[in-house]
Amino acid sequence: MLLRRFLSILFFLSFSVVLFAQSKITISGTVKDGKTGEELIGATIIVSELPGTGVTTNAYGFYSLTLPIGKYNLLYKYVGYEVIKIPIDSLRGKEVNVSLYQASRALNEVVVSAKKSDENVKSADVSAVRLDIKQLEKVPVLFGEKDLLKTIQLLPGIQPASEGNAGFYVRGGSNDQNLILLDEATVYNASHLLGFFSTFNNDAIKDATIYKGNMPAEFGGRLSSVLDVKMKEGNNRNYVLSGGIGLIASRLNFEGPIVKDKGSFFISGRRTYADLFLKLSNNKQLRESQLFFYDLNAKANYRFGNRDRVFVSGYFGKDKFKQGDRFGIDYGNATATARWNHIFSEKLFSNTAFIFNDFNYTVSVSQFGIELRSLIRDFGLKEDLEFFINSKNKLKAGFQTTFHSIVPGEVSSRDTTRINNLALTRSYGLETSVYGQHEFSLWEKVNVIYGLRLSIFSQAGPGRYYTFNEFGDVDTFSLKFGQFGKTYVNPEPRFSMSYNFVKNMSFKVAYSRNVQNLHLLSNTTTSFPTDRWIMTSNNVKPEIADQVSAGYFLNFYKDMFEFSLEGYYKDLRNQIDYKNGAVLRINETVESQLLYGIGRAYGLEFFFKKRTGKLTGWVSYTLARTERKFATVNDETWFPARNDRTHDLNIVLMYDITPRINVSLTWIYYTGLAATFPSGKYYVGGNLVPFYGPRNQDRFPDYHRLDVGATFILKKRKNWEHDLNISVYNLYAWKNAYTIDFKVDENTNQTYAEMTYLFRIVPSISYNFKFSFIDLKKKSK
Amino acid sequence: MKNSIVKLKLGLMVIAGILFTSCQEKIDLNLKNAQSQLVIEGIVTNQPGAFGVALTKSKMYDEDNTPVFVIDATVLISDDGGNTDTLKQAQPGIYVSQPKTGIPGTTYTLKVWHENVLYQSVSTMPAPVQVDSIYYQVVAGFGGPDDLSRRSFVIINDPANVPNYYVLKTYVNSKLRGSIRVYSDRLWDGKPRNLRAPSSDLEVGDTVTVEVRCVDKAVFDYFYELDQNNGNMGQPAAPANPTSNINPKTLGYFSAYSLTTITDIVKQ
Repeated sequence: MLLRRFLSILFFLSFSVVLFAQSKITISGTVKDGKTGEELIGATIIVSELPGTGVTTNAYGFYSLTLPIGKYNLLYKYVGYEVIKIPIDSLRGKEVNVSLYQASRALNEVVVSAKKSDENVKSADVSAVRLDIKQLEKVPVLFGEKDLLKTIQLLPGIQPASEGNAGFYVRGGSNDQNLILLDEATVYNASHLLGFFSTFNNDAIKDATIYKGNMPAEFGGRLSSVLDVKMKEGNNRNYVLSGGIGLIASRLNFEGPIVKDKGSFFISGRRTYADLFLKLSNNKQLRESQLFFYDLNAKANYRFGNRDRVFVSGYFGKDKFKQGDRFGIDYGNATATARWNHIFSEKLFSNTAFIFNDFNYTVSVSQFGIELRSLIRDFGLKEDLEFFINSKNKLKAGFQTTFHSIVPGEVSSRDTTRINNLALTRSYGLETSVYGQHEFSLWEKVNVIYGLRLSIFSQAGPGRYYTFNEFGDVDTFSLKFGQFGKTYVNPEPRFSMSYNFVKNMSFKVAYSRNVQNLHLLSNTTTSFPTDRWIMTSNNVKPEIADQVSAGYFLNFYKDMFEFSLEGYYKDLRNQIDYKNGAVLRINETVESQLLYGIGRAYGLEFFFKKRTGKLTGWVSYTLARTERKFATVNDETWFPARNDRTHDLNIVLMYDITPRINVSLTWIYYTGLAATFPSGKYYVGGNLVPFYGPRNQDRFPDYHRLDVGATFILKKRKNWEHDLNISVYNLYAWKNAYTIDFKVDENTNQTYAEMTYLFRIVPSISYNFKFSFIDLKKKSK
Repeated sequence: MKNSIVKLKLGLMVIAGILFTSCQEKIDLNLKNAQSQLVIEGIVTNQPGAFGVALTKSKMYDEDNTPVFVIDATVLISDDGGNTDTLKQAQPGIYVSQPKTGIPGTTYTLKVWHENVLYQSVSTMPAPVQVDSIYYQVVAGFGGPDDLSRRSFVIINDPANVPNYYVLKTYVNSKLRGSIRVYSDRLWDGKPRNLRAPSSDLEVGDTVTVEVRCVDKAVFDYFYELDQNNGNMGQPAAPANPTSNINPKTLGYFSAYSLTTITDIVKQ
C-alpha cells in the first residue's frame, strides 16, 4: 500500500516536471569515436555551470539534454578519451554531434583525458557491471582464447558452472536462468566444444553489460541475470583488416565504411583446427573423426538523414563432432536482428527490432541409420521508446512479443524395420511483455529508477498437451493453430535507488521480480547441447524470483580505487527438479517426470578494484548460500543446491611493465560444488552398488588455480599493429576434480574414489594483428 | 537411442581427453557413513529350480566388500493361486523354496519378517521373449591399431502392442561379467531388435552366456534408476537409491521374471 502511494507520487512528480518544462532548450546528438566512427555507449555529457547536471549516451550513442535557456559549456567525456568542451549559447535547441579521440600516452600531459568516471557510484543501477572489453583482453585465459563468458566469472556473484565452462551461475541461479542477448537476440546455448569455449568471439564485441538480477524493466524472461552483448558496428572511416592466430582457433575480421560517415559493416569469422591434428593420427577411427566449431558474426548499419538509422546483424555458429563412422552431433545457434533507430524529436528516441534466433542439434548414429533432430526457434518484435524529459528525468517504455517454437525431438531412421520413426509433439508459446520505467534524480543526491514489466505467456496451438494427476494418469487436450491454452500473466515490479550521501560514496537498494517461461532440463553434472528446453504449460508454472539487494559503493583516491559491498536475498518459486530415474530425452510426456519446489539464495559480495595506473586489477569475494526444497527430496528440508558455493575468491592483476609489455595474473578459489557421494554400499545381483544418503550432503574438493599471461606489442603504428600473447593456464599444475567416480578394487576387496581432472599446465601462444587501409600521405598533407 | 547418446558422450569425453590431457587419480574424500540397512533381493523365474531370496546388510563405504548376510529372518513367497511357501536357508542369508517353476502371468507376493518389521512386495511375471541369435562386434578404440574390443549383441523379437522391459546380464566362462543393461521397447515396439549385452573385451574362445530377463514395470524402473547411477547417461547430478518395489522402504527388489538365455563360444 505504502509502495503504491509512493509510486503514484513519483508519477505525479514526473508529469508535473513535463508540464512546467517550457522555457528550455534541448541539446541532442550522438557521441562517436573519432577514429572509427563507432558510437560510444555510456559517454557522459556534463554541464560545467550546473554541477551534478548531466546525461549519458544510450546504447546507440544518442543523448538528449534539456536545460533552462542560458550560456553553457558542455564537457563530453568517455573513459580513456580526450575530453571535449563545447560552448552552447542559443535560444533554441540544437543538434550537437561530437567525436572523441582516444588519449594516446604521449599526449597525456597536454590534453586532459577523461578519468574513470564515478558512474558506478552515482547511478541507481544495482548489481550491474559494464565490462571493459579492452581490459578483458589482458586477462589470461585457457588456450589464449579471449572469452567474455570466462572473464565475467571473475566478478563477484558470478561463478563458473565447472572447470573451463562457458556456463555460469549468477547469485545461486542455474545456467538456464541467464538471459544471454547478442544484439537483442537470445542465445540459447552459448557454448562451443562441450562448453570449453563460448559463442562470443571477442573480436566482434563492442560492449557487454551484465545485470545480476536487478535488471531494468526493459529486460526480462530469466531469473538470475541478463548479459547484454552488442556487436561491433564497424569502422565507418577506413577499411581495417584484423585477426589472430592461436593454438586452438584463428580469427579474421574485416570492417569498413559502406558510405563514409553514413554506414559501415563488420564481418568476423573464427574456426578451430584442433581436429586437423586428428588427421595425422595412424588410428583410422581418429582419422575419420571430426571435432571443430566455427562462428560468423556480421553487421551493417546505414544512416538515412539525421533521424533514421538501420542496423542488420547476424550470428551463425556451428559445432561438428563425429566419432569415426559411428555417430556424430552437429549443433549451433543462429541469430538475426534488424533494427531501426528513429529520432522522433530531440527528446524522443525509438528503437524497433525484428529478432530471430534458432538453436538446433542433430545426433546421428550411423550404425542404425538414425538421426535425431531438435530445435528451439523464436521470432520476435520489440519496440523501445526513450523519452528524455530533462536532465533529471527520463522515461522508457516499450513492448516485446516473441513466438517460441520447440521441436523437442524427431527420430528418423533409414532402417524402419529396426527403429520406429518418431516425432514428439512440437510445442508453441507466445510471450509478450509491456514495460514502463521512470528514471529521475532528486536533490542531486538521489537517483531512482522504478518501473513495471508485465509478462504474459500463453501456450499455443497447434499441438497436443497433457495433464497429469497426482497418480501419474494422463489426460490430453488439443489446441488448433491460432488457439491458446493456459495463459499466465505476471506483473514484475522493479525498483532501484542510490543515495549519494557524500561525493564518491553511495548507498543503494533495489527490489525486482523476474519471471521465466522457458526451462532447461538437465539432470547430469555436465551440460550437453542435447539438454532439453521446455516451455511453461498447463503443468509447468512460470519460475518466479524476488530479489532484494543493498550495497555500499565508494570510489576513492581520485577515483583510482573502487570498492563495493553488496548483499542480496532471493526467493525462488516453481523451481524444477526431476523424479528419480526421470527419462528426459525423447519422452513425449516429459512433464510427468518433473518435481516442483522452492528455493532461496543469499549472499554478500565484496569488490575492490584499482582502476588506473601501471598496476590495475581487482579482488572479488563472495560469501553465499543457495538452497532448494522439494516435497520428495530429503524429507522436505532445505538442501544445498548443486550450484551452492560458500566461498568464491578471484584475484586479477595486470601490470604495464613498459607501454609495450603487459603482464597479468589471475588466481581463483572456490568451494567445491555440492554433490551426493555414497555413504554406504551393498550388493544387488552380484554387483556392488553405492548407498546414497541425503541429496547434496557432500562436496567436491575446493577448486583453485593460478593463470599468468603476457602481451608484447610488437609494433603500433597508425595503420599497422601486431602483438604476441603468451599465457599459462594452471601454472602450479593443481589437479582439480572435474568428475568423481567410485570404483571397486577387485584385488584388495575395497572401494575407492577416483577423480578425473582435465588440465595440468596448459601453455598457449597467440598472435594478433590489425591493419588499417589509411592513406598515410593524404593524412600528412 | 539411449545407447547412442551414451556412446556419443563417451566419444566426446575421449576426444576431449586427447585434446585436454585429462587423467584419473585416486582421491581421499571424507565420506559420511549411513546406518546399515536391510537389503532384500527376491527372485521368481520361469526356469526349473527354486524361488530364492538373498538377505544382506549395507556396509559403510570404506569397509571391505565382503557381504554381511542376514540369518534371522522369516521369508514367504505366495502366488495368486493361494499357494504359499516358507523358504528355508540353504546357506547363511540365502533363502530358497521347494523345487518350483514360476508361471508367466502369475502374480507373486513376497513377505519377509525381520526385526519385528514385515516387508512385502508383489511382482507379476511377464511372458518370455524369443532370443533369436547372438553376434559380436569388434570396435576400434582410440589407443592405436591394437586397441580393439569385442562386445556381444543379442537379437530378440519384441512382441507387438505390449510394453516390454528387458534386463540383460552377461556371464563369461560361467562368471558374471560387467553390470546390467536395461531396455524398454518404447521406441521399437514390435520390431526385431539388437540389444547390446553388458561387458566388452570378450576374447576368442570365451563361452558367453547372455541372460535376457523380461521384467515388470516396477522392476524395470528399479534397474533403470540403478543403471542411471552408473553414469551411462552422463554423471547424474543427483544420484539416489533406486525406488524399491518393497514396502516399507528398504533396499533391494522383488522380481518375478521370465528368463531366456543364449550361450555361445566366441569364434572370431
